Amino acid sequence: MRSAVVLVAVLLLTGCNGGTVDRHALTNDAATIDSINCESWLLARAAERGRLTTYYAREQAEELQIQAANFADALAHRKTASGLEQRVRAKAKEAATLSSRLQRLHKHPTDHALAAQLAQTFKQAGNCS
Amino acid sequence: MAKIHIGKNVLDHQLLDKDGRRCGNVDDLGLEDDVVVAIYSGPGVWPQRAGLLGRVAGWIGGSQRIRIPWEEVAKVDSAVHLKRTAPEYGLGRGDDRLRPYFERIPGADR
Amino acid sequence: MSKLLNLALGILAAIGGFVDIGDLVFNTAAGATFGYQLMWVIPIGVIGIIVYSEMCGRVAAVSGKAVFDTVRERAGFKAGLYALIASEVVNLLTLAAEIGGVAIVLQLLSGLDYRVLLPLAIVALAVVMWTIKLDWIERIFGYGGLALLVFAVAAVKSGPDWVKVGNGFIPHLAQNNPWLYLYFVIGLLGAAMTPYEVYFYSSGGVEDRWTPKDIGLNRANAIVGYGLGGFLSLALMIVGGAVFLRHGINPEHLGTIALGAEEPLGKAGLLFALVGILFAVGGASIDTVFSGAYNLAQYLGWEWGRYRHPAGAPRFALTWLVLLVAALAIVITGVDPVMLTEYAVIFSAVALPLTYIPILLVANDREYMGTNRNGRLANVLGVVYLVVIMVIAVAAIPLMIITNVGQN
Repeated sequence: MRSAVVLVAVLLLTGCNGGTVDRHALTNDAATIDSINCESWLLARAAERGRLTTYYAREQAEELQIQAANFADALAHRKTASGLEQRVRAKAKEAATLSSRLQRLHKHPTDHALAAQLAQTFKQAGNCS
Repeated sequence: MAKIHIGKNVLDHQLLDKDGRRCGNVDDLGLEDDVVVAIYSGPGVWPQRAGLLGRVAGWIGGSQRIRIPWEEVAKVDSAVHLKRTAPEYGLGRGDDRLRPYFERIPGADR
Repeated sequence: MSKLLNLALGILAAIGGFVDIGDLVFNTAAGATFGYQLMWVIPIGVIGIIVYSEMCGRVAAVSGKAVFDTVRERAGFKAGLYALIASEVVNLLTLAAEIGGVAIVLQLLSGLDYRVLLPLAIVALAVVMWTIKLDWIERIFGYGGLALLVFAVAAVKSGPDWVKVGNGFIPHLAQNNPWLYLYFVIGLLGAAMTPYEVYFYSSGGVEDRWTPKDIGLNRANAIVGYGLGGFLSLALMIVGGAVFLRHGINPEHLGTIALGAEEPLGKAGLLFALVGILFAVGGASIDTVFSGAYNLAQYLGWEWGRYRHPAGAPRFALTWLVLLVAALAIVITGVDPVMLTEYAVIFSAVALPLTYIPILLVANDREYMGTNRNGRLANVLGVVYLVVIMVIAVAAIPLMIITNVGQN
């Protein structure tokens, strides 16, 4: 019984995604946005080269788009440590832009020209190698 | 009549009936003067074996509690073998009650 | 000749069946985060599951008893009940994650809606489990899972720094991010030593009526099968490093893992990866749900068995049906299966000692096992891994908290 209570407490503590965005979290958030950009780059590049199935391109783009959109939402509304507000909200905008680009890829998974264009954009935005 | 030290080799062991059918577990033993006279099986026995968790399990499982006299034990090896078939003791009723429903679903008797 | 063929087929099925969603997620993520620095953990995990499986298999062959039968006898009703509940909870979490994984891959392949694919997957699994003989289930899903070998090809083709890969086999602690590193150590070991595999393996042994004569063959089967399966885990980690870390990607979706095969190999790589993941995770979910039913039936003394047709073991069949529905209920809430996988692996690491310890004791019991009790090698390994398992179990939850479930 006691262990069940501990378990619930642990789950609540670890599951909680909220909390203030401090410098450490901001670094992590920036890295996450870069990661999504770079993954989108690989996805778009593969789409451009016709190396994906239509369904995969469409669904995976949507997965990434949802992730980016949720992120943008969270960053736009979460409390931030003092002095960081501007940078956090800027990151939120970045994530929102990323989300809308992914939305375009999701809507036109077979448009190779669009994919090529987006691939370049993602690569630059994420500083990908 | 079996001495209590044999109880350790019997408690929490699988019960098998005359046909080798699995029909429950030795959930508890009945003792008289340090001698095992009976086996008890069934959820009704669980509360006294495991405190709070046992009471919850027993509440889920029901109050069934079957007493099997020690004379009914044919053999004790890694399981406890009984002399008669499970229904004769009232064991395995859960399976018997469910079986008619499952038999009606195609593929169940493959 | 036929026995050799059977052995080969069994091994093939084991390779495809070894990798489940926990291995896919943790091995890839480990490679994407730490490159090849965690390679050394995989052989340790593989040897661990071989040791554990071999003991359970030997106990099954000698006593005709599977794990939870043995656990209850050895630990008693009360301790056995705790072990059972812990195992069933972990089992259910694992099952939910796997069902979610199946639905995700089906969505990537078919474009159908995830929420629709979930109940569809459950129904399909239930029908398969109800109507198809288990031998055939093992074969279909095992061979389908072999498509995952595409990751071995991808690992080579992606051109990793082989010197660094080799260095990764030397145990060390990463300088940056040590807590996250340790979290991955726990996760990789937990994913390799999944208990439900062992419950399934030992129950299968009882159903196949293993005798002491079968011990040698099945030991070989376990070693080669799990060993080659571990080789797949290595491939996943290499792909994680050579594709994801190289491009600065932290994979958070199951579909991303397939991209790891697409990058070096193109569309064929993508398709093999998706199919392989589908069969591996689908097969794993069948093993998991049977394990959950085995455990309960064995603990309570019910009739059980996959060979015992559903009408012959009604409560057993009802149990696995209920487990499928319960897993559906968990995953249809929209919880992320990848996150669920991480929790399932960590909690299964915590629960591992509860069944390992009774088995280790029984495997050593002269009265029980006779001449087949643990020899010196088995005991050295058995005790070493007892220590490993206890350390993992104690460290798992604190590390999960410190690293915020690997999110850092």
